[in-house]
Amino acid sequence: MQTARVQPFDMNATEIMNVAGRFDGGNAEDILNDAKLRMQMGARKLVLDCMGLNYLTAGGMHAMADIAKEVRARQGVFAVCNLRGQPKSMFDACGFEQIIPSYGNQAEAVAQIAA
Amino acid sequence: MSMHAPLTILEEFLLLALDDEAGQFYSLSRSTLDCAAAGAALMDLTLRRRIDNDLKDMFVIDPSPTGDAILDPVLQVMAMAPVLTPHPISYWLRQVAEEGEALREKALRRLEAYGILRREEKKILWVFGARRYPIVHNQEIRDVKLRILGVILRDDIPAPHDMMLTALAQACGLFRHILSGHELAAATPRIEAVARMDLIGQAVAKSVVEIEAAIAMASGFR
Repeated sequence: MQTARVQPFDMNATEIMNVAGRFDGGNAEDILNDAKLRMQMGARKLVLDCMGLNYLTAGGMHAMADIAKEVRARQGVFAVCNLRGQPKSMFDACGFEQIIPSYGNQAEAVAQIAA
Repeated sequence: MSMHAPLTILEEFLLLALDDEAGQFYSLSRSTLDCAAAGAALMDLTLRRRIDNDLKDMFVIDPSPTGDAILDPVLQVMAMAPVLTPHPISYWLRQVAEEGEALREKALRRLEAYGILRREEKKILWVFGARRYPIVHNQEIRDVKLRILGVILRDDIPAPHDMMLTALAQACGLFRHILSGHELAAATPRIEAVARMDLIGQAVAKSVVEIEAAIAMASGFR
């Protein structure tokens, strides 16, 4: 009988979370729980890729802050990338770059938080 | 003192706005307090994922009751507004601020029921004059002050609840009562950065500036 080989989680790898469409109070809890699950499984470097995101509200921003807080509590690093349009305007209007680094593309985000 | 539910932003704001030695609120105009109470109620509803907002509008996302007797009437009014006529945060601030005194009164009665403060009606010449709220159990007021001080004096990532409470405190000038002049000067960049993180807080700040300017102008005409 073959035994399953469990691959250890690579805590140095950057976990990419893609968020598309809306990020608002309606789905914020699901996205937050997804992030928490990844952290529970060992992720310590997390990038939220917003390439497909076209609408961001205060509810979504609060979830982002909660994710950032959770990652930092685990001595991890969190960043967002590919913000544009309305989501970028929302992020900038609230000055969230003070608590969450934002990068122009995924490669830059991964390189910066791996450093 | 009875065990109680976690304090809402409205209740914590009232504790921050209370001079716990004098048992009276710091000198804030009634209009400012009404606006802050309205902002706090909208913040509490946002945290409970009943309402949400973007750069333009504030809207109901879940009209189901929260179970909170102070917040649910506010939510009910918002839920009755026509869906196709969205309104900005400032509109809802004005609407809810019309019930500002009632909101504050209900929250104070709840704090009284929790055993955190009591109400004293001081009679002057057989007429009710000043109302005081001496603190009965000071753990909650200490906790909220310590928590907010932690937010503004360290560079931790603030929880959304604390971002909003910081924004309200800043909009109403409460930090000058909580911090020394030197501490306030040093903490101001951080306070402003955190206060900016919530759009309802930004709207309250703007409204309070307009209220205070109107009051100053009216005083100047006398």
